[in-house]
Amino acid sequence: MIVLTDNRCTDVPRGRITAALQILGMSALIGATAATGTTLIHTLLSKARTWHEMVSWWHPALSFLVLVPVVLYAWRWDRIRAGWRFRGYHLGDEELYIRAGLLYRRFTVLAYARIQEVNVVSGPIQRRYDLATVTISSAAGRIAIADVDPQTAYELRDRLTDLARKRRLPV
Amino acid sequence: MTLSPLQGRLHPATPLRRSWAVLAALAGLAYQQHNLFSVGTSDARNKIDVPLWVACTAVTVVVVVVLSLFIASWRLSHYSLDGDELEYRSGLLFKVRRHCELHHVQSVDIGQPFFGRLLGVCTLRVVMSGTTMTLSYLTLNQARALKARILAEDTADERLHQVRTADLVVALLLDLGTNLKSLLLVGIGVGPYVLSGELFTLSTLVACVPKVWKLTGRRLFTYSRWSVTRIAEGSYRTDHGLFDTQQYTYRASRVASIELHQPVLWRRFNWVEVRVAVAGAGKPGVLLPVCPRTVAEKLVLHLLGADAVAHLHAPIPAPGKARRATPFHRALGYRLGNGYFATWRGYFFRNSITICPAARIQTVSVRQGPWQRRLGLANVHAHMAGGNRVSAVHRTSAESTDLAQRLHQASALH
Repeated sequence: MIVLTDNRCTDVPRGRITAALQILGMSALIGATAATGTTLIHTLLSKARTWHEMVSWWHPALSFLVLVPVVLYAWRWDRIRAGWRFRGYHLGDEELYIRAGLLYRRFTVLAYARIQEVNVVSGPIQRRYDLATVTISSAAGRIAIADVDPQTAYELRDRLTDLARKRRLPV
Repeated sequence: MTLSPLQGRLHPATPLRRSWAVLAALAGLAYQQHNLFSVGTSDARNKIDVPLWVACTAVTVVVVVVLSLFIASWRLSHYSLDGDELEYRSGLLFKVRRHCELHHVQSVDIGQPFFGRLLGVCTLRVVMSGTTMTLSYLTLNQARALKARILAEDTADERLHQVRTADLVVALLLDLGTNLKSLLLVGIGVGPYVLSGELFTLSTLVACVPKVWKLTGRRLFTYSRWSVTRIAEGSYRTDHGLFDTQQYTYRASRVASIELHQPVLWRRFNWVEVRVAVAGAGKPGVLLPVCPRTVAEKLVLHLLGADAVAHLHAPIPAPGKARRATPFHRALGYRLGNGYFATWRGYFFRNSITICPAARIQTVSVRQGPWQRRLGLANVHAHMAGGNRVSAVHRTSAESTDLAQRLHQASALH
């Protein structure tokens, strides 16, 4: 069955690090956007010309705004934890199941016979936390098992290539 | 019987195809310097005097160099069709040598750009799965001979539909969404001028005009004289264009999905626009810019089979909860069965139906956003080869699970 709340999927143990990084990234993005936007509006209204005038409205007390996301995350903690527990993959008999997503949840099914290419990718931040991503390409595009530890990633790659080769259709 | 190899050079106008812009720019640049130099007269002040013989030599050298480069690149571009292999060589500095085996060829189209039409030359596009080999320019006779040899099948052309110009003009005028969008773009372009009254603010138009032209005038020119022809079993060719004539061949075996779009004002005529997504191509291409629904259904019958046409009616409507997720919930729907998956969507100004053969679905996925999670809804996407997807949106969780399961089973390889 293809259920969003399927519990057969193996949890990705490193999911919490990724979730934390995602949340940090999102917060940084929202913060930067808010700072730029308010500065821009202030510049337009006050016709400020120097950088000092542009940021002069910032008051040290504004640093308390940092507490807003902290409170928000504390309040929605169970949802965030549900988000990282949601990540996972499952190798079925004929197809691969992948669940991912924190805010937007997605659950994908791909038949092994349609796999065209399997890659293991690891970026600088991922290497810092000892993580790797397995990307699986089919004719429809690529999907990924994100942020597993490198050993599992290599095993998955070999396993998936093997399964794809065995189930390949005669061309 | 072995045929003699068919070979030759491309048309001598070929190098002009890319370099005429560079030459024009160089000439313009040279002309801009005319008040810096003077030729043959020594009385001009503040100008660098160039003797007449130097100027003549410089011009001659430039012309000779450019011409010899042209001739060299023309002499080096060579094609040959020998047996089962089409080979194309070109390149002066970077040599390109392409081979193409004829049994990989999916279609051959002849296109005529406007300048090419003035010179009597054309472009031959050989479409293989994934890549396209373009030979340009060729004379029309060369192109026809090559095409006949590559296809090597007697083509019985049967015209399926020809779009009438009057219908096309009315249809484009009634396409409210696109016209409002182009009006909005013009408004954005002219807005700063209206607000400030400064003439130089009209320069914002530079950014908008190409887009507006693409949405209005160019559509009229490229869509006019549009016809669909059945050239062989399962092959359908579109011919179109007022100034530059283009062709494109669709093969029934490569069709990933067919979309029927209906802008809101086309409803009383029951007209639709037919787009076809081909496996390997990113965006769906236009099969017919405007036609009555009966003709569209006939084309679906040709491309996907008789069962598919029955699937263009009676969708399963979206659940009542969907009205809290989108204002267009009435237009939503899907239908799956007999190996076809059809979905209905509505946007502000147009409704669209997408239909695909379930056997060509690559991946199935279920997606749920935060607001949908609260309402207990989810989207089901069927991903097709080439990256486009067919989606049934805002179904209840149980329904989406069931639908995804059925889609995956229907797409199973037998």
